Amino acid sequence: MSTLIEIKKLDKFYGNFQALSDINLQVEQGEVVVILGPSGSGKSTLIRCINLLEDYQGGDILVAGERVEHGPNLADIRSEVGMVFQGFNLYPHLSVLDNVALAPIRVRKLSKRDAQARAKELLIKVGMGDHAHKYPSQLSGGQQQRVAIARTMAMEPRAILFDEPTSALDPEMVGEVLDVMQNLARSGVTMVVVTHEMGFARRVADRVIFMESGKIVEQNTPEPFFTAPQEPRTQAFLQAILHH
Amino acid sequence: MDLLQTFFNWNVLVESLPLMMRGLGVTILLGVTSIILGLAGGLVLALLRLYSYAPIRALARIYIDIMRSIPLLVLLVLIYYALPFVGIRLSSFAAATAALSLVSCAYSAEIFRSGIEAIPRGQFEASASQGMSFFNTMRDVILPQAIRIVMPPMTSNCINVMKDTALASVVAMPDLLKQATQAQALAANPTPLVGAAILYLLLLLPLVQLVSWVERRNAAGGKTA
Ligand SMILES: Nc1ncnc2c1ncn2[C@@H]1O[C@H](COP(=O)(O)OP(=O)(O)O)[C@@H](O)[C@H]1O
Ligand SMILES: [Mg+2]
Repeated sequence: MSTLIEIKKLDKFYGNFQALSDINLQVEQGEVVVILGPSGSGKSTLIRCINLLEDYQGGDILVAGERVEHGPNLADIRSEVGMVFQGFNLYPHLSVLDNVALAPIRVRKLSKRDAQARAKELLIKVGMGDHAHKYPSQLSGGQQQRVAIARTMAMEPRAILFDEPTSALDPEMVGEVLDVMQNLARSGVTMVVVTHEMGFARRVADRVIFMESGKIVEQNTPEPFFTAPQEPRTQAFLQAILHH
Repeated sequence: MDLLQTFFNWNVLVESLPLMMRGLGVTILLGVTSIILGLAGGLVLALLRLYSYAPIRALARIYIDIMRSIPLLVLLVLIYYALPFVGIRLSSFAAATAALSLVSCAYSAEIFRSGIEAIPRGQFEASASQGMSFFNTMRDVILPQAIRIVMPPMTSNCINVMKDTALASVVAMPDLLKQATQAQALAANPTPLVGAAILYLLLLLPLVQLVSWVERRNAAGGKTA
């Protein structure tokens, strides 16, 4: 396996507040990494640094060997690292089909016809084939998030970052989105997933990372992570979540 | 009746009508040109004001503030009567177009800016995360939404530009108002002025109603899909 995302000694500040300290993390090609941690521990900040939606002040982030920084390469890097947001962030003025086809047309320079044909396939893949001509506001949250995943897949990125993709959903819609993500993981896409869905982490993750106060506290493969966590803070977190 | 003879004198109206229609044409040409220049300039100015380097941002802001403070008539008179002293001699049409669009683009810049700033950050982030360029993000994602939001104030601004074209008569521009005042002097009867007022209303009333309609629709329906 080769390393796709490499984070070295990452420090991130919001003003004087240090949101991330000395984060070291490698994600291999095809790996599924789940990030757990209490609210405010820096999970979103970490994955938003990977595509530079947040600036970082210390250390390095490399994607496929290229440093993630402002400059002419940033758009290229971003086109290879997709992101799925908690709030979907679909383009409300575009149809579902155009939401998915837009970036491939503009960034990958596909013809409109090819991009729409591919968009249609992807929408079928996420179970949204019948909704291609609707607008985002006409869809449920779960449907919107599946469209958002299709939109991200349309760029054929080498990695996809997920920031709590099911946290804004009504409980009955969580499953449909997790199913799509699980299929995606099986297809070999590299994924970094921030989530509170422990079942998903256990089933799908190759590695689980636990963060607190801007630091990585513990990481392991799912089985030992959930059955025999080493750090007291991990134990407390899992206790609180599982017995909730 | 006397009053009717004075203010709605049919013969005077018919006689002055060709002149006034020509004036109306000039008014519309001046208004439309200034509106288009003002919109284009306003968009550029708004983007500079929001996204360019700090010194240029500051300059854009200063420009916008000055143009929104100076009375349009003062600016027009400056351009037409003062600039010749430094060798810049503009026709009355060019001077009026310049004054109207210089001011109008400052107002439209602020309107565009408010629309762009009303777009949630997630829209910018979704687009950026797909590797879309700044230009594509603006054209395909942000501006279509922003323009929808600012449609009512922007239309109001365009109406104001159209109304303010009447100031151009001060610099001997043969617009609707100028032609009407001349016809009035010629006929020694105010009917042409009344006619001009009616023509202005015919031109602008539908636009005003369009704004109210759009506002009502937005209030009722939210954003329609
Ligand atoms: N834009 C911001 N400005 C200042 N502080 C922020 C900002 N975004 C996040 N933070 C702070 O950084 C810390 C980590 O936030 P975040 O990464 O969102 O945590 P998580 O995703 O794990 O809940 C929190 O203490 C939060 O208050
Ligand atoms: Mg978060």
